[in-house]
Amino acid sequence: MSLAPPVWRPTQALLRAGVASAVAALAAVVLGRPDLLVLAAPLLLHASVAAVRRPAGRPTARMRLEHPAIREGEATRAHVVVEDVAGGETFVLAQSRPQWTVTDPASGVATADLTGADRGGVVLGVGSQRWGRRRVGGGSFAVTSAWAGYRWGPSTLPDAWLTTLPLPGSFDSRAPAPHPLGVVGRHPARRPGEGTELHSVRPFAAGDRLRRVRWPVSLRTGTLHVTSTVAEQDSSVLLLVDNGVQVGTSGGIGGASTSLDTAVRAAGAVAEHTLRRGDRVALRVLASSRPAPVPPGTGNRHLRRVLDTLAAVTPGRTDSPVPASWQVPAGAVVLVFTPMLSDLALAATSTLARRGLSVVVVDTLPDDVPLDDERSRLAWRLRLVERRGLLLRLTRAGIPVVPWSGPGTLDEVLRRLARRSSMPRLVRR
Amino acid sequence: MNPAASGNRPSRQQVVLRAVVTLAGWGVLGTAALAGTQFPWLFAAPGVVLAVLAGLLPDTGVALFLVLDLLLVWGVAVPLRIDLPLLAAALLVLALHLAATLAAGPPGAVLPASVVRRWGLRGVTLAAGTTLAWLVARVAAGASLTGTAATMAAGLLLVIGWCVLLTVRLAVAGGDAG
Repeated sequence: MSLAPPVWRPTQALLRAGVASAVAALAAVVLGRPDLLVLAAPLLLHASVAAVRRPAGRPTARMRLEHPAIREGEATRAHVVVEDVAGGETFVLAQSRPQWTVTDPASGVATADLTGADRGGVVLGVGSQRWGRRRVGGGSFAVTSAWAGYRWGPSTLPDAWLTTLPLPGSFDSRAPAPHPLGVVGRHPARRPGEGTELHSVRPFAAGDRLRRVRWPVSLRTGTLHVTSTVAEQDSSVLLLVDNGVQVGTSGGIGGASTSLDTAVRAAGAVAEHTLRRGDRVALRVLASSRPAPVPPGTGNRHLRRVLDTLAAVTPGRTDSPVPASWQVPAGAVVLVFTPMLSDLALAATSTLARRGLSVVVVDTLPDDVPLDDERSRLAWRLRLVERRGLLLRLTRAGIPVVPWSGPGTLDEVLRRLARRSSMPRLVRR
Repeated sequence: MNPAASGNRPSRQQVVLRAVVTLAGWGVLGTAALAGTQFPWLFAAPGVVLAVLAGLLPDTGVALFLVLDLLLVWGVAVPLRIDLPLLAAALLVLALHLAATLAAGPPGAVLPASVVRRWGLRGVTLAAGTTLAWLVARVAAGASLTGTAATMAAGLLLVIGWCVLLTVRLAVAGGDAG
């Protein structure tokens, strides 16, 4: 909708006062009824005062968010600055309120006295109830002159992008990484090296540190023995978020979650936990090339990059990805967050597993999917039966499937993968 | 609470102001019925409806038609008398007009306290001016000035001057708009 170019226009109040008082005055004179003039006297007075106080300014307003990125359920302040309001008295802003956005005041309508404390503008609260990137704070504003004679606008107030980062559900894992192949880290590796976990007690060799000498063994055996430890290395985790299908109805941060809500929040939680442990995290969205994949990295800045990318995920398939061509670090654990309802998710999972990677499917399908009619419910039941068979085939193929349940979700699976990784196995190439 | 739903609801302040618009309109009709010798139902009935509509749509031209209808009803129902009912009716018209002025705005708007205080002061000023006009008219009526050629001429000059001023102001505003 395009608004007409803003100018100062007479308000309904001025038109009412002016026209009614003019008609009353005319009738009073023509009919000889001065009482009609008395009746319209307040209108005549108001119109006289309001009409002569025509403002000269050309008001403009701009908006700035105090924090361009917040977490789900958090709020920030939007500063609306009004300028060139000579002659203006009251500022009214009607904010647009996109879905999942809450405003303070709740109606989204704010007023300010431009001749008083609010001369510079108004400060509004903007909160977000769901992860994502959306435009907020904009809308239309109007400025009314003194005595409500003239009104500027409604004019458009440009909005701003607010990024809502997913609020990671609490997640913790004590399981060891299956394939620690990096340089430095906290996971005990398979090779001996500098670390804290005992590997063996062996005879002293040139280059061994004296503080590693194991004196009881050395005295008993008569030759110098040292304690050797296993090296500690970091591991890589590739987070694969299935955005091709979204099941369920989202109720925001405090309500029901869709499959994509769960996937994004779970991926955020795992990323935060993994990066805090010093491991490397990569992120890829399954069904579209946007947002762009995040290569493996570590640190707080990388966590912010991962969360930003997760916030930019939108549901729907736009591309035909080729999982076989994806570059995945050797030894990485691939966590696929998916409701496993599309061929794409199945193809990606099985392709990555065939490459010899440790793949874990994190099931994000919500427990309760609201459906309107009996036919849809029946179709959904059939779909679930198909899905159950599919998950069973994945499990038999050695790809563990676990439903997302917060802390400890991946512990058992990762332990099994770690045990399995130390055994010889056949890989199709 | 769903914020999207509350956006279309008027604020409590707006509800009060809208109620004042309707009640003041009905008040003028009631005053005319009490002060008049006959009550023109033909003109009053639309006034009753217009008062409700003006309360629901304060930022439209409905309030103007309501005021015009009230003037018509008063002119037909009440004979020429400068008495207290006339002052009461004029103050009710003032209340109607100010309430409609303040209620205009997007639903949910709440005027700052400083603006409400300022408009309260303005209302008192306008009420004082109205009372002064009523007193002048009462004195003039007591001096039997009404109906003389001098009064008619002065009145016409005043009306023409007001109409010219208003036309010029509104035309300038309209020209800017175009």
